[in-house]
Amino acid sequence: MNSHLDLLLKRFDRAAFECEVEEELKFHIGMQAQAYERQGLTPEEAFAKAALRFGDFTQIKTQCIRIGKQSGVRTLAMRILFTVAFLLGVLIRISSWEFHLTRVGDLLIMIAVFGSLLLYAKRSGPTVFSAERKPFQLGLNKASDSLPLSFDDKGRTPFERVRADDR
Amino acid sequence: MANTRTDLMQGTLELLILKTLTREHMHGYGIAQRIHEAVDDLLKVEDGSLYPALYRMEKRGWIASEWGASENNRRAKFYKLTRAGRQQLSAQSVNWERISQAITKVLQSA
Repeated sequence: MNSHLDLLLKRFDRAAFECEVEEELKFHIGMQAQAYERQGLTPEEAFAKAALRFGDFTQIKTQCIRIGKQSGVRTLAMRILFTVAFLLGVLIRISSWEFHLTRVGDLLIMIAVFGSLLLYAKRSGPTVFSAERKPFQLGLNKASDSLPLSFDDKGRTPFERVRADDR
Repeated sequence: MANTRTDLMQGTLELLILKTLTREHMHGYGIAQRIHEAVDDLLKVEDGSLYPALYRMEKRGWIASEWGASENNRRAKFYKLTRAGRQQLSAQSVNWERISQAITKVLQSA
């Protein structure tokens, strides 16, 4: 129950879902960069090559966020069901003075409200974030964490070097 | 080296992902690596294109995800196949067989 409540609260933090997508994509690039490092590339070149191989990070991230925020057919059906329950509950509540019927109305309203909130919370997936959100690390080794831009003797950046080598 | 890698047909990436996840639950990077190994670099599978497909498949209920610790103890999102995903895999596999047979037939007759 606590985890559901946690999810619900996190869902209201719009940035949380976006951070989650970013973390996942950066994990991929970090792992690929490590693999390239093991093949003998420098940390900068490994990162540049991994990033190039990955594709347009911003575009992919935007696409994932857009897809993640879309509602599926099942969610839509549930939403319609909860809306109907809510309206029915309100209708019973205002049109009946009998105690037992107003209780039914209250129950329907409560089911609709909690159901909708849970649907909203679950949209971002089963995620638990740590209390403080630190800037993402790419998981490269210590020397490469800061990834300073170094130029070679031809004045090329790591990206330009990797691109030239791929050709 | 001549460029002999073929672009992936639309929709086939989902089939590859579903098949990859039948063995075990994996993170996105693991799925990408497994697909690259399996297709032996003959197909051009962009690493980044995997993620929109994963998110779409999760929306459709074919796969489910949860965060866990990766092999190097980093936080990673793991995907696993759902029952709907297994059904989808068998349906898509049958469909793929049919399409490939049909195309082969046309190519052989022409």
